Order: sequence, then C-alpha cells, then structure tokens
Amino acid sequence: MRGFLWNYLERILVRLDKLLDRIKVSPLEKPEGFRVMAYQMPFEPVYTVEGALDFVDQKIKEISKYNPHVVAFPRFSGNFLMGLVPLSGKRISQEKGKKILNNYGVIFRSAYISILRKIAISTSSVVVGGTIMISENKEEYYVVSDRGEIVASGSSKSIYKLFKVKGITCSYMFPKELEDYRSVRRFMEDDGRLVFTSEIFDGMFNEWILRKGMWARSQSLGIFGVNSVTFGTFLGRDYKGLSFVSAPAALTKKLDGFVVKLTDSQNKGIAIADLDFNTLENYLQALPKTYKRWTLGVR
Amino acid sequence: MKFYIGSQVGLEEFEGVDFSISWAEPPLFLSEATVVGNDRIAVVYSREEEIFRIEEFAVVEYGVPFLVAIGNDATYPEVFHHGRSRGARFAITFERTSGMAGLMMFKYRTWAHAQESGLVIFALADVMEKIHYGIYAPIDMTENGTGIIAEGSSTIVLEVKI
Repeated sequence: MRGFLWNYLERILVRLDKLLDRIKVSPLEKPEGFRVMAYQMPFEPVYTVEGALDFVDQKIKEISKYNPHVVAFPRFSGNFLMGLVPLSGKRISQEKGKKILNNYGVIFRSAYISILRKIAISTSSVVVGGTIMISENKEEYYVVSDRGEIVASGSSKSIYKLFKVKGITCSYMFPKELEDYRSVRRFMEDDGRLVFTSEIFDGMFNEWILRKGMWARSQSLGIFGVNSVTFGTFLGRDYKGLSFVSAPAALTKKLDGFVVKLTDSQNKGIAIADLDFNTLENYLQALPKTYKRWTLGVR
Repeated sequence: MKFYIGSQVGLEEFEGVDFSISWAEPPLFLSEATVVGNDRIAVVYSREEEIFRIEEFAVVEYGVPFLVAIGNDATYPEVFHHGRSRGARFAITFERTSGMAGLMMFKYRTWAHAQESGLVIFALADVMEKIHYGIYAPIDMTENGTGIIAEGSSTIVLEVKI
C-alpha cells in the first residue's frame, strides 16, 4: 500500500542508509578460537533516524569490546524500526502494531539488512540478525558475513539453511523447527555443529521450559547452541527468556549443559562464550553411531 | 499404574505393583510384570514366565505397549520416537556410564528424550557400580512442572499416570 506515509518512510530510510555509510569502519583483528556473543535485549522501538543510528553505534561499540567471531541478535530485532512510523506512540499496542506491520512492515526489511551489514563490517563479525516481522504472519531472519554479504536467510515457514563461520557449519533455526530433534539430526548429518535460535516465551516461563528446546537438543544430540532473547512487550504480548550458550553437559564446567547462561530475564545482558569444536568433535566421535542402522531403514 | 524401581527385596511395598524394574539381579516375581536388565540384555517376565528378551530395543505388549531400550540404543532420540510411533505408553531403559559427567549426561539426555517423545521414561544407569534411576516425563505431565518425577539411587514405589 503506497501513499504519503510510505513515501515518507522511504525517504527517512534512505536518509538512514546514507548516515549509516558515514560511520567509520576499522576492521578488527580476531582472537584465536571461536567466540560467540548473544544479546539479551528489550524490545525498544526507536522513533527517530538519530535513535536508529545511536542503536547501531552502541552495538558496534559493545561488539568491538568483546570482539566475537559471531554475534547473535534476538527475534524481532528488526522491528525496533517500527517506531519510525509517525504517531506510533511510546508503547505500540497490539492493534496498532499489527496495522503497522501489515501496511509498512516490508519497508523496514532493507533498512534492517543495511544495519546488520554495517554492524558486521564495522566489527568484522558474522551477524546472526535475529528476525524481523514484515507482516502479521511473516517473520524473516538474515545472517550477514563479516564482509557484509547475506549468507543465509529464510522465514519461519522455510527449513534451516547452512552457513559457515571459520569452517564450522552453522544454521539459524526457529524454535518450532528446533523442537523436532529430527531437524537437528539432519543438520548434524550435514556436518552442522552450531545452531542459533531465539527462544522467547509469552506465557508460563521457568527454567525447565527454557530447557525444552535448544538446551535439550544439546543434551540429546551433542551440539552447541546459542540462544539470544528479546524481552518486553511486542504486539501486545509480554515476552521473556534467558540468553545462553548450550553444550552437552559433559563439556560444560558446571556439568549443567550451559557454557554460559544469563540469570535475569528482565534485564539486558550479553552472553559470551569461547567454543572448542575440537572437544565437541572428540565427544561426538566417542558416541556410537548405531542410530544410523535404522534411520536408514536397516536393522 | 504402580511401579517399583530398585533392588528386588521381599517387602510389602510390592503389593499391587504392576511393574517392577531392577538392574540385573534375580527377580522375586512379586509384581505383575518384572523387567530386569543391564546395558547388554533385558528380560520381561509375566509373574515367573519369561515373555521377552531384548538385546537392543523393542516395543513390548504387556497390558499396555511399552518400550525397552538398553545400552547405546537408550541414548538416541530416534529409539524413543520409534517407540512412540509403535504405540508405546512409557519406556524403560538400562545404560552404563561413568563419572559425574556421565551421570549428568544420563539424567539430562533422558529428560530431553522424555520431552522429545512425550513418553514417561523409567531410566536406570550403572554409574561406577552404583545404580541410579531417573523417572522423567513431559513437563506438562508433572505436577511441579519440572519434567522430573523422581531421581535417586534407593528403592522407590510410585503411582504414575500413563
């Protein structure tokens, strides 16, 4: 639906794009190993182009400080730009939010990708961009390489796609896909070793519910997982969760299956972990592969 | 259904027990069904009669269908999925592991399998010659919302809604 408001948004997003170009880029030297960083952040719309630039600037500073190889953003990260719609209000109600998404959601997609590119190039990090709702029923994710190229993208209705970071096969999976161990098994058969996701909850939430998805797949199949969450109100729903990095319990210091886990679901935070894929590979090699006999129909 | 998990000792707790599950020891046949196993073999008895011998995994029909899986086969989600697809209402597993890391993997992995398959799992593990058990179920089937019905290493008798 194009009209005055559409044209207005296009203009300010072009301005945002130009201003993003002005942010200076100084590539970072990466440390040895494989460092991941997962944001836990509130859903906070920005209301001005300057606000969006502040967001980008702040993220570049934070990521540069920890200098990860991959940084993960949570679900609905791209929707913080919805506040740019005039008169959207300080708290975007469910009704208004849906209307904004259905009429203008798609216009924010390219601006969000530009932001991810800028962050990726400025920090020399692969950016798993979380998701952006482009309409009431369509949610998309984007993964951008440290050179600013989109290396994986999809929607909540598509199956996972593979991308590589330092030779490690990774993917982004929506919680629904991750719920089914068979998706993760297939991914591992494709040499996948690291899954990114964003598990957030708008109903009952406790430690055990948190463990049902990514954490459980780490235990039952032997894989590293990175969960980045957003919290707060989005489209009338009150979300919570905890960002963490999971691994088979035997490979974690506290033997609890968490390499790192944030503890407060109501506060922003950053989960950082250095992952040792050689240790994971040794662990996987030690597991018998008898399941193959009959997943292949042979018993 | 009433389950007895642990050492086969002649106690009054056996009264009315439908299933008794023990790690490799001579059964006393005090319950309707007895499942005795280790990480290599499991045997299902109806009273004193041996009705099934399992060396990997199988869905056994005894009043209700249930899955028995041993050793490595008890560590794969595919086995529990298979059991569920064949109508199993619960699962009994026997495995061997070592050290604290092995014990935690046994607990967490089995908990995950219960969530993945929707089955209640009665799991026994020999950890350095001490038998540990864990009874896990989908979170929404447990009153405290943890997905853990019981864990420990001493004998337990309990009713579980299957």
